[in-house]
Amino acid sequence: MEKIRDIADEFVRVRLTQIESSNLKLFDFDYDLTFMVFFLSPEETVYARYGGRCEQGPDERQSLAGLRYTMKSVLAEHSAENRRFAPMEGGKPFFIGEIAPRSGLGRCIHCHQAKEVMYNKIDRDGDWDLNLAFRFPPPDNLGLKLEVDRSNIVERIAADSVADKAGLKEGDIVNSLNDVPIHSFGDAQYALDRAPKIGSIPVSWQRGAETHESRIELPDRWWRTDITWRPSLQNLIASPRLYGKDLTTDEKTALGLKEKQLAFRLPDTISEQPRLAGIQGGDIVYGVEGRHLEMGAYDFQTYFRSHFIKGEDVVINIIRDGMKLERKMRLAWR
Amino acid sequence: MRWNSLRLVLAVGLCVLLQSSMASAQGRRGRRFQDRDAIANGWQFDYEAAKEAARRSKKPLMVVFRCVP
Repeated sequence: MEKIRDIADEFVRVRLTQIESSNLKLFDFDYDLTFMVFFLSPEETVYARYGGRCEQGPDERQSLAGLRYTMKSVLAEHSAENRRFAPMEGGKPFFIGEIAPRSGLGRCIHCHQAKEVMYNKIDRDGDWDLNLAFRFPPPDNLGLKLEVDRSNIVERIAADSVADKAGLKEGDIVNSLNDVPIHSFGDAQYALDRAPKIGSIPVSWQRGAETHESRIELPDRWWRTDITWRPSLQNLIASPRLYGKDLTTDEKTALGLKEKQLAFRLPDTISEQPRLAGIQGGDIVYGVEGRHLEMGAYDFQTYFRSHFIKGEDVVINIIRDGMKLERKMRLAWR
Repeated sequence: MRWNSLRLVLAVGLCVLLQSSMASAQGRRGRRFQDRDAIANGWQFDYEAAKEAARRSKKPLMVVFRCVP
């Protein structure tokens, strides 16, 4: 509180500790988070969101300094002549209690549980889409890394990324992304949650006194992220069910593989999932989806869990009798 | 007959006990969520009241969702 005390009284502050009584059409956010701030006008339209995390840890994308920065940015927006607001879905309010059983006995529905309830309903209705596992992608997926303490300023642009090609540079202030005003990392995630799977999205930024506008071309499967940290999606984390002993350097060289490249030999008996894909005991696994992976068999398990989810078809690259082959493997669903 | 009445009294007593235990659990939970420090620092816990205060004061709302384990 000390770090925001001087500007805190510029806001009417309210803390909500139960999601049951909140309109989730209005408070639409990444429900796997344990902390999220909404800034709204007195007319109940959203200026900004603050909060977010990534697989590296719960506080890698948020700080008190960042919250303070966003609060100041919102106050400037609030007093601007032409106030900007985040777009939101229309329609009647939605409360989780409409589809969730009563929590009862004083139990609290955690935010991630609200998401589980929503996803179970979608699944029951037959509308499940694997891409729902990858909601609220970070701007990093486009090569755009925002600062943590000044949360709409570009910290780094990945070389040759789509953000780089759009013209963004380190130090730029991102004004808007996909027509969502950007005050924070949380806003950028919300903007990308609304973005199409293919095509391009508008971006606007400030560099010194100049305002720049461009479009970011969305790359293939740009929205995918590591879901292993998300409490709501633990049942979607996939296992390759491919285990074995790493090849020696000499064995790799004999097969034309690089020294650090993934290559392990499967035992004689393998599990049903790879067997159904036409993979056999004794095959050598040396890649996935044609990607060159530098790791051992043990790290391959972690890599796989953070890159693929249950229900997907994944191409496994194998070597059998010196021949390079591909086998499409369906990752067991439920 | 006497045995049935006794069972009825016991059942009603059990219900009353259970209800009072639930109410006190909810009360404890409510108090835990609305800690005194937060209230002293100007935080509200009633969204509708906060909305009304924002309308009156023309200040923006800052709404915090915080998971209480």
